[in-house]
Amino acid sequence: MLPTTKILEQDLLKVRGLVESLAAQWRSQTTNDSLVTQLSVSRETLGEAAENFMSQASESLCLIIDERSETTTAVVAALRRIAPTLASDVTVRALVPPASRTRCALDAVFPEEAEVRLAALPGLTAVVSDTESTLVSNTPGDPALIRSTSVATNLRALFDTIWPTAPVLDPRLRLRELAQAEELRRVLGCLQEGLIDDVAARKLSMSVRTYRRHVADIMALLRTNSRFQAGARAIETGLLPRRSTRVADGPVPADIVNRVSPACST
Amino acid sequence: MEHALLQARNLIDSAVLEFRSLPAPRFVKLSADKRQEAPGATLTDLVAQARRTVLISLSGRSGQLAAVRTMLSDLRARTQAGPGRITVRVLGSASALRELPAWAGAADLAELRVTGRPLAETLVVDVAEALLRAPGDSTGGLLVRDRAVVRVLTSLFMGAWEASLHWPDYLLLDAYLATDTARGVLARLYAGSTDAVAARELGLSLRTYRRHVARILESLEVSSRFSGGTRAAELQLFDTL
Repeated sequence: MLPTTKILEQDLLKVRGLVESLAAQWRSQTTNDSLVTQLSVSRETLGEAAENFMSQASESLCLIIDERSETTTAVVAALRRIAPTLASDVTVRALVPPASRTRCALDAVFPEEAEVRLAALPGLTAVVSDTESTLVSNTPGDPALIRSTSVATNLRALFDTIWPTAPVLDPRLRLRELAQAEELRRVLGCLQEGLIDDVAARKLSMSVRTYRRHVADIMALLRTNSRFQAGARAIETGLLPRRSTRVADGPVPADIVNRVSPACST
Repeated sequence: MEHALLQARNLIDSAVLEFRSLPAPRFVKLSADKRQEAPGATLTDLVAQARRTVLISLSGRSGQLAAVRTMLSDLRARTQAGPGRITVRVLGSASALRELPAWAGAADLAELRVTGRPLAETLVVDVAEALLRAPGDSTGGLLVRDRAVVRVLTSLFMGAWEASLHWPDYLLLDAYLATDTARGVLARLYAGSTDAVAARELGLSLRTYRRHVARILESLEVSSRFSGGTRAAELQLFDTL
């Protein structure tokens, strides 16, 4: 073979090699796209797909619920159906919007296996199964199933960060419906200000004995044995709103009394 | 021979046309081999293209920390050069945040917040693209352009952000609160134990125990046990007990 022909052949073989590696890259790219499965919003198929998806969880199900989407209704209904079939060590947690109407409505809809807390994460419904796959729906848009460990792990880690600080959905804590709700609210305010009982009672124009009775009522409501514990639970349940998490550089402001959480209003 | 070569060229031309007509991939698994990566796909590259927001969660992995340090230096140089401030938010554990340079939290550069929970590696740029990594991931990470997924990541990141503590404030918290004794006392206060029981469990006299409680309330800058409870809950001190 002439030298120039040899070079030509080598070059041709290089081109061939290049085309082959392009084909390989393409193949791996299409497997990447198979990470996603689009789901239709039609109730039946979505419900079935959601059931299949959630029943495969072996460790945890994390749900983020936006009440306003079609997907949500199907997903929560599916959860209700499969929850009793899940292994007992599978934790089921849901974050729902704090809007009062939603709280009370969803309270009835979630299965008892699910722990429900409040967080404002509007416009999205997502379910993370273990650290394996995720069902995602952003309005507008069709729901999709994503089989990616990276996505699920990251979403679960962020969910775990929000969870401890999200107030618990506890229907007993509907202050408004209680007798003497207004007084309890004012007592809570004084407690948060750190006033001693005598001073607080005087401030609220009641006897110390009455004040202490209200404090005992609050502690019973929060199911606590001590005042410190009551303070912590009051924040955790959302009975008292979290003030900004900035470290205070002065005394607690006096208008705290006005800032007590309105709780469920229906 | 020439005919064969021209045919090959035409085939390649039509393949190129086909490539161009395909929708952009929504997920790209990045290889660990830097040479093979698509340009603009590393953490520093993505941040360099950012125009409005950058959200990062730190896992504590040294590779990510190194990339974040480089990214912050680049940003620092960039901010001084032109207009259009980018909002940068970095979320991480105390040990991870301590690995960042002291000027990282400068007001015009980035906001830092601390959480007691373990995090994976999330980077979201302009609510448009994300780079994710999970522990044990041997690839270069997952590049995500799927809008729905990026929005979920952003939303959850912001929720986690709200639930975390401002880093400079965390550093101001009395060092005393991090001691084992303080944590032991806090745990019992949180559990609602009576002082007598708690003191016994900790092997302290009742008076000493109460002195520790007083010290904790002082560190929290409150004047009653109830407000100590609320303050400690707000600062998430129970998170890591």
